[in-house]
Amino acid sequence: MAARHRDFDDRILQAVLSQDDALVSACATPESRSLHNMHSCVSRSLCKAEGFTRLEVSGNTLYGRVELEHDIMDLLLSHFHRRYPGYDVALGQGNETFVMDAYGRVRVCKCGIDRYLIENGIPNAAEPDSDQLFETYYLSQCIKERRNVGLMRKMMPRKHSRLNHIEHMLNNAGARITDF
Amino acid sequence: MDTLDKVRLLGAAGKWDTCASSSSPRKSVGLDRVGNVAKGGICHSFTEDGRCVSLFKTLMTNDCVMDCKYCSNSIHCGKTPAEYEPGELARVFMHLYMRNYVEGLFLSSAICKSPDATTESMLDTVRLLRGAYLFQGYVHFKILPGVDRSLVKQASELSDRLSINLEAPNGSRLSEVTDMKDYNSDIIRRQKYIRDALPPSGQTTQLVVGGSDETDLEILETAVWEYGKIGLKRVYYSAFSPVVGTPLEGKDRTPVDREKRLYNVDFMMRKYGIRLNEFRDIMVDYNLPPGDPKMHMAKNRFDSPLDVNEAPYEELVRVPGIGPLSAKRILAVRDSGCRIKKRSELHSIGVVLKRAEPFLSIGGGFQSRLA
Repeated sequence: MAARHRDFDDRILQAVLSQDDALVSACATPESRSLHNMHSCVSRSLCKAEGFTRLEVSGNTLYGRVELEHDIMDLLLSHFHRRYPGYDVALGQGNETFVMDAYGRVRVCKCGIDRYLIENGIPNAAEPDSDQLFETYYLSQCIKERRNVGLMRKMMPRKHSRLNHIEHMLNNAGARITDF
Repeated sequence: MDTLDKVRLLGAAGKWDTCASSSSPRKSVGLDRVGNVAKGGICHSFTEDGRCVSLFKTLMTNDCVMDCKYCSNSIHCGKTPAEYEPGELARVFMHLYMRNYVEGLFLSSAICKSPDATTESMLDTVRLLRGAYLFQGYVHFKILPGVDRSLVKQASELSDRLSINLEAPNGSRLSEVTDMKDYNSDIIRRQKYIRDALPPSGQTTQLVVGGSDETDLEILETAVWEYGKIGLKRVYYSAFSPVVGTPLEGKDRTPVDREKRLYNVDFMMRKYGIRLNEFRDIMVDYNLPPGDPKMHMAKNRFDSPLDVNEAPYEELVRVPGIGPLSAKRILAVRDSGCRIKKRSELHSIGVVLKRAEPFLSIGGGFQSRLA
């Protein structure tokens, strides 16, 4: 997992391999700690991507857009493949689209997601009420007496707040209410 | 009433249930299905109060015949009644699930007409999801007080996790907030039904903190009993917040810090193996004092710094800043024949030095005053 981190350096791994197993498993050396932190960072990034990637449904295709910091596209596609077997999953990142079909085979298309959909004859399935449905539900969940926007900002990266259409709340919200 | 209005009203009515867990050991088999259960919880969003939104949490209806004094759905409250049809709720949920907005369904309800009639309607929804939509993802089903045993069994076969809310730590406290529920026959007995039905992801419950005049000791004694005798996976604590239009609207709001202290102690009892008696020693008038319970306990227990290279596991986990994982790592380093000589080594292991240093002796040196 750590090897997927964008800053992974093979020299760290070589240093760890020469250290005592007990010290490494206890993260008691700077190198093992660094490797552990990279592992955690990649795991967290994958968890966030699994949670915050929004998909659209068009026939047998689910498609969406991602911005991944680390090399986890295959893991993300596998997650959606396990969740929605029988569907093709297409995730666009920049000028590339990664597709896992219903049989678990992966291919990479050198075009953005919009062009991929057009070239493959997949109609745009964006439904006007899809975001409104979630936003209605989302807004119903807040207990305003417990408002803690600082914690919300800490837990939800800005790029994901765009996908959740709540960026305006993060921009306009004040500091934590401490009236308890 | 259109579907969006129902989503808004029934979602808001269901937000007070705090369980957001969505993991289950149940395996999703076959390819002719939609959905699976994740090994660990996945959050799909966070609200302005910082809480994770992972499940589609909703009531089947908010039109209740019960008289719970803290509840916005109770018979006392004027409200716009709303109710889903099973097919409608199943459609809304699948629409959100297919687009990866939610991880699963948390289905609760006010009690309309009778617990059995309302539960049948809830079961119809879940049957549609499992049958017509081939949904094999996570479902948390709320059992209603007084419901028939056979319906609990059906719910267990269709769902991953079941729960019924205690709301209060004992019958005497419950009678302060409602005249219509019997603690033992309507709630505890149903918990035993759920236990015997063996849902895949177990059973949880929720307590309202501060709704009556219960003490922290009463709440924690109830939690210990629930974990031991009923076999609960989790007890959730929800700080009381007065709702306009209810008989308790004039009661003071319970500080969120009190809820947080209860969660801290609950976690330490479950994960650290620390018994309730140790927390009794730091209580004031049967309530936990303000601040971190672990810090109070450490100041009460340790009259001299611990040698980090000699202290046993049971002492190490009682040091603020050292949890079970860090304590095990310290022991692993010692077992390999090494000694911890520097602060930086403890930092690498994961010890929070700012909290732990006043209680530790590292390489013979120690902070001379406790924080």
